[in-house]
Amino acid sequence: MLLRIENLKTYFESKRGVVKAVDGVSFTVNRGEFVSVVGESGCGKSTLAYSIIRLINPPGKIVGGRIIFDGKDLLRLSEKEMRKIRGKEIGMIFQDPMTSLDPLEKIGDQMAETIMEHVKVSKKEALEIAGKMLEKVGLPANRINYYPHQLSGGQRQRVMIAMAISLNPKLLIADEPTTALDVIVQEKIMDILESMKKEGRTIILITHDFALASERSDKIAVMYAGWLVEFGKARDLVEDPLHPYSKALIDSVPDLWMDKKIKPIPGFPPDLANPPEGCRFRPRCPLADEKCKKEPPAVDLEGRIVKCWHYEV
Amino acid sequence: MASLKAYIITRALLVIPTVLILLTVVFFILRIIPGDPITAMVGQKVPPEVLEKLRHEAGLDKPIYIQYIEYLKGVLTGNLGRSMIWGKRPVIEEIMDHFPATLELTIFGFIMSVLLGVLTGAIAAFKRGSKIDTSMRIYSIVAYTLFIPWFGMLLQMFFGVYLKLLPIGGRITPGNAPETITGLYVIDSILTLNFNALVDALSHLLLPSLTLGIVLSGAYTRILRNNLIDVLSQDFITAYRARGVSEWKVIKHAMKNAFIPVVTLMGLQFAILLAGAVLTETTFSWPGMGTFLIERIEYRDYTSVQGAIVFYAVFVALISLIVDIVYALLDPRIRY
Amino acid sequence: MEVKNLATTIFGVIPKTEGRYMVLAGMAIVATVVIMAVFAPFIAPYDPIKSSGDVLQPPSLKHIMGTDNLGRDLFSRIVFGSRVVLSVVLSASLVSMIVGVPLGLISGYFGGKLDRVLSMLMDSMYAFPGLILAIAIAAVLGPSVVNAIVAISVVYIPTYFRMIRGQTLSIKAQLFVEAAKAIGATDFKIMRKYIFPNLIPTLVVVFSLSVADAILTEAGLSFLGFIVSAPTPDWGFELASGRPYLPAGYWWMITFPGLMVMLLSLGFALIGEGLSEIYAPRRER
Repeated sequence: MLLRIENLKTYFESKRGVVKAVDGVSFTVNRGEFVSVVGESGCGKSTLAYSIIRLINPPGKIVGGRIIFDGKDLLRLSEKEMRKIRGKEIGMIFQDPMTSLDPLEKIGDQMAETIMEHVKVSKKEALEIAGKMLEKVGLPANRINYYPHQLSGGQRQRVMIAMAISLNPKLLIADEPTTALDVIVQEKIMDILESMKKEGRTIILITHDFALASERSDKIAVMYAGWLVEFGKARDLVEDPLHPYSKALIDSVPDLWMDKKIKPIPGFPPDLANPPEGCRFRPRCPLADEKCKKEPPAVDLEGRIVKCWHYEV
Repeated sequence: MASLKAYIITRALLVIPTVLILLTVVFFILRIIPGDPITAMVGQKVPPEVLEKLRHEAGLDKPIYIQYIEYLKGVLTGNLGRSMIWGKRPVIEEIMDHFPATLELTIFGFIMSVLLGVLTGAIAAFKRGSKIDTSMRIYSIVAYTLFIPWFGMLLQMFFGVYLKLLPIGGRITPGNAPETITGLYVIDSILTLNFNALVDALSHLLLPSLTLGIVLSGAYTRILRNNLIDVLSQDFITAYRARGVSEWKVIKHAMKNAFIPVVTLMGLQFAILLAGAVLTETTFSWPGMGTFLIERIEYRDYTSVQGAIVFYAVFVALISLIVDIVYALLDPRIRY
Repeated sequence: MEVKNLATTIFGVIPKTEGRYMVLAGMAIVATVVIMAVFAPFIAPYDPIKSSGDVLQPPSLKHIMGTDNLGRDLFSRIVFGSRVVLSVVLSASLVSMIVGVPLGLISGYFGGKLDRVLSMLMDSMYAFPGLILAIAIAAVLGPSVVNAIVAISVVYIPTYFRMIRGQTLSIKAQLFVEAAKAIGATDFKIMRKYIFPNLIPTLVVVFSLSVADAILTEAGLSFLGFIVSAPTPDWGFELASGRPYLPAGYWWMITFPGLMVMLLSLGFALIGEGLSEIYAPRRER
């Protein structure tokens, strides 16, 4: 077990009230696993990712739960200790490669700065490491002398990945790393991520693209309106989804070859400042009934988690 | 890769039409009124022969296009004619006598304005939404509506008259001036290790540059605050933090990014700085270009006045060129 | 009372942003000075150009701002001085607007060679220090109120030109203008009916801020002696007159006129800043 999230709650203060972006999420990620967190926009998956590395800024706040990483509860650490973990133990890859790099610094300098922040090496050594990392993601080492605006989107994303792995972190969190890229580049980036996994790293992928998640993940966590509604092995979940929402998601994914009828999910995701009473999926769920007016418990079926009154095994 | 040279050359070439236009505008302004500027400046009470003589001296009896060509020729060779009063010295020499004083005042005023502006802007950005933020923004508006002579005199009154701490006029105590190397007393006194002169010069510089500095800082406060707030919300700042980079370094990177557009503002502010310097010089009896201009207007020294305006025009154009080059040096995205 | 209702209505109509307070504060200040100027003979307790007391008296109950070196009541001089300031600044700004706005609109709308030439000319003038340009013009023309109006209006023409031209360009790029062209509207009609109304918000903001700046320019010119001569009262000129007495500790002759300059400028600046907050409120995350 590398990462265990227990009843994590992250709330935001807003004019409309308290937005419960992450409301009681629990699941476990084991070493070497590739876990995807999927859900619609606004379901809280990005907030979850940022909560793990504790980069939630006001008006947001992590209000409850535990995040056990490598034996330590991250929420109990001081900011100083947390900073040591960021970058070195946990690496993060961001969504938009255009804006995630400092436009005023050379690639190599940015990478070297991170390296030198965590380990005692000279600038020269740090730059060498940076060059090697770039090669690892398929870029020539001389790109360390380039400025971000001189690279394409796909190249910049590779740089982000190189930066994230340069200190050999145990856990890599990728927040929608391919959303801003075209499909072909997307494939290449996913290949790189998979090779990272093969080298023994643990990967958490945040995405709204269910097809992408189901292709390469070991496990999938499905989020809806701040809740974890289902969690389990990818193959099991895709072949036999237990939660109506997961089922609806799978049904709504277009299949290139089959003549499948696409069934979009009716309705809209709820306002997280004013979620519906009881089960948050109730307004859109085909199986909803009186029982659903009470919040369903998250049932743990030997590693398979589902938060529903009406799951079908 | 970086084509800095090409950029500088392109930008430098652009200066030429700008300066040309300014020179032409100045030329025509000084000749717009019916009759001629000599008559206007000297008045009616002068016998016609003297008027003719003055006009001839100033070259105003030649056809206009010849005047224009000679004028341009003169500017290019640094010949701005001769003063019409006293020793009839070349105008350029008189200007050079007064320019270092203005330069020194302007430099110190500029430094003060940037420091104050960046400081207040940064505080406002980091304490965003708080009362401190609001008061910084009020400061920025109040600062630029301050009337320079008034504010300067208030400072004179308080520090010079009541507290008797600082001198209220002039550049230095008479006789104390350091050996002239650059004409800038502060630098000259450092170079000649004359610490007495250094302290004297600095104490005279303090109030005028503070006046200029505060009044001009307002614009920087606001732009830095807004830029900094924008930058701090950008992804790459979060990315830095996600890699465990220390908060100080993050702030440093944020400031660097926020500061670059400010450099452009500096170019525009420079013109305001020069204008403000005229008022500051008059208020503090500072013997610079501003005092020179006003004085020569009073003495109806037409050629000197024209020369001074031309000098201002060329100087402003040069500074804006320098600012653009500095901007290109700082922002790698500009160097195509 | 009617005034109270008026205030509430205005207050209610202006959108709920911080800008609202700024605009109101600014309007209050400007209104006060305008009233002062318009009703000067009724507000000023004494004749501003005749001596009405002992010389160099500090502020007292009899002379609330004191007297100057010729025994004239300073408050009365300030009240009457507001007439000069407002008439010069508002006339000059009006002229700048009348020249600069149409030029900016035409230049921005038609583009091409005319635009390039005009822009270059205006940009060069804009880059030149305003006060120095005004001094040059005023010096050549000679000190007088009319000449000051000419000088100051020339200084601000490029400001109006640039702002209006910029706005025209961005409005022109919008679809509804293209649509108007497609249905055969003439250029003049497009400019009049579609573009100009959308320029008004920007114009009001630019006007307020330019006037704020022009007040300082006028005060500067006046201070240097390029506008009025004794005994006419004008705020900047008062400062210059009072200056020799400063080292001896006579503070009121400088403090009050300068304060008025700042307050009036601040008033217009607040209106301009407040309005621009209202039109484009900052996204507060």
